[in-house]
Amino acid sequence: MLIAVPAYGQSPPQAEFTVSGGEPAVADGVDVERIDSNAPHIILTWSISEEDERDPAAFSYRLERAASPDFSDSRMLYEGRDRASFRAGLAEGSYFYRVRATDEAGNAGVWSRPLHLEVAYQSMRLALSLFAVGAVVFLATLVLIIAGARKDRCEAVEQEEAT
Amino acid sequence: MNGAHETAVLSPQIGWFLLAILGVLWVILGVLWGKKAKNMDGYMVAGRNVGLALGAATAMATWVTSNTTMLAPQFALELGVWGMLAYSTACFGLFLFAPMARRIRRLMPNGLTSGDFIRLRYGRPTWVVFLAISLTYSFAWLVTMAMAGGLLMNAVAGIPFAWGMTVILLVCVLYTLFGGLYAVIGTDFVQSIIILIGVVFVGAVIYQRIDFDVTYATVVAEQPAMLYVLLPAAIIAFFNNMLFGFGEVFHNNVWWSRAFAMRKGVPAKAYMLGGLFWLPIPIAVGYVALSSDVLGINLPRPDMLGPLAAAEVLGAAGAVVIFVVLFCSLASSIDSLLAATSDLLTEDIYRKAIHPSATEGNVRTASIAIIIGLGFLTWLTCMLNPGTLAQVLFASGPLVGSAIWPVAAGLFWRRSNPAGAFAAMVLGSACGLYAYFTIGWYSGALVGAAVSMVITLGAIVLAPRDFDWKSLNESNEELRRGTIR
Repeated sequence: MLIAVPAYGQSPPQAEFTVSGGEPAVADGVDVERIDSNAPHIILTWSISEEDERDPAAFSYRLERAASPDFSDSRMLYEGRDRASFRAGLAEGSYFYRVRATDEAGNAGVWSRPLHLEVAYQSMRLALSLFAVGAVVFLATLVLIIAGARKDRCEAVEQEEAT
Repeated sequence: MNGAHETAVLSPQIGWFLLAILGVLWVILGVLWGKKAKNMDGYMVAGRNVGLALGAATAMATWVTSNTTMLAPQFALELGVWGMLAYSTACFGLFLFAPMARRIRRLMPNGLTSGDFIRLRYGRPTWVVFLAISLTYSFAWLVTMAMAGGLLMNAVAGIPFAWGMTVILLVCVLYTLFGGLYAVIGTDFVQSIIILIGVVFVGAVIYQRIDFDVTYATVVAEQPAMLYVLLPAAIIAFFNNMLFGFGEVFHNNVWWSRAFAMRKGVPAKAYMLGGLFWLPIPIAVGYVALSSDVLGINLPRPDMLGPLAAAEVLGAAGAVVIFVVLFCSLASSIDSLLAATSDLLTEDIYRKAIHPSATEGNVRTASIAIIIGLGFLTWLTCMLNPGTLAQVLFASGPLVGSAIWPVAAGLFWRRSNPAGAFAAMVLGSACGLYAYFTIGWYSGALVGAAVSMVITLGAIVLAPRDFDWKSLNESNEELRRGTIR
């Protein structure tokens, strides 16, 4: 769970940036939440913390991604009032995400605790094996139905002739 | 749905206005068409006299579901170009069902449900397993479509998920209740025309708006995995989705009831045409997924891409068009599923298992109660927010995958073994579910179908059983002669 704290008048609201299944970890000296995935996509969600009773939709959020934990190469992925973002087409490798909330007056909070996503695909051997199995089942089904349909046509003709 | 999305193209007032117009229109049409149903045969299988135009339109409209309009882009997003192609393979389900439908119509001229076939072909134990599979799948499909309705209305018009989902479900329950399969097929015809016109319109606008070279360059830079030829998850998903489509169509009463409803000589042509009309739609909407970064769309959930992208590209006026198209695509499938699933429950469970001596009036009353109950249960499940559309639907993939071979072999091969069909469905489902949870959602149907095929073939080789095809022609004279009270 990552927290973003916007500078907000009296008591600063806290935004929580959550991704299920994460584990605390340290990457290059930075305290992060780590997720390991074999899929090329992820849904990132965030919201204001439960202690804060203000409407989370009242804030604007900025989501950034970087290849290093210090975010020296960060780039903005989204800026707006949504509180989730689906990221697709990820190649194998490391990704670091952070989010920040901004109030209506334009006061930006501090960045949330980063999220470290490590993408490593499934084995190609498994994929190709299952592909081969699928091809066999498909071809067998095709043969069953085409042969069955030809026989059915003959039976139908015989049936009509008989009647 | 979870409040994660905060921007909508249409105002809620316009959204509610469109909902009201469409809702009232479908209910009125449903009531009018429903007047044709003079007895249960008319109510359940539309008098067995549906022609080619209506038959092809209903096949196409039913297959253009929330799954096509909302899951096809999700497939392309998650699995790239392979995912887009994988989704389009679902049309093979309709193509291969075409010859099956012809045989079904010939062998079972008085048939009412797919459950009838399994019971007569394999006996009661296999029938029970089949019903469990079919009802689980049908319910999952219903839930995904009702959820899609709520998501769509939230994304396009800012209508709260719960309200949008409730209204579309209520409208479909009402006109299915009044009109039965006559209403479902009649509204499907109108809906299929609206869907085709809308898709052509949206496609033309998107083609003008999106530069192919820019899209390609952006995807290569920002989402490179979408273009990977050797993306493991996508390679697995290709045949998984195709076999899932086979399983969905081969076993489900939505497709069997239409085969029973069509005139002699019509089913095979209607399913071929329906598949051909359907094929370009997932490719067109899948392409939009590849362009999502170019369009600058933020996706709170992957299954919201369809409506959000269309609204982004088309603006407010176009959003009205896409709202109507998507409403039609959802309604045309929800009504079909409500009718076919309630038929399965009414005919197979109420009339065959609980009350064999039920009168025409008893059956009609049971049917009404079942449609209302099914609608309520779907609504309740959607309110619990069970997951994304893909998660909900593909959890049933292993089950339907395991039904492919028992159904197809049972229909064409005299020597299919009932015990083999039973074991194929049980073990195929179990192994498919294991793969679903250990490998991923994109492997369940494939493993289920493969295990089921091996068991079905093994049982035929080791213990072939003879079968008299004439015993499939069960008389429903008693039911057909009555009139609706």
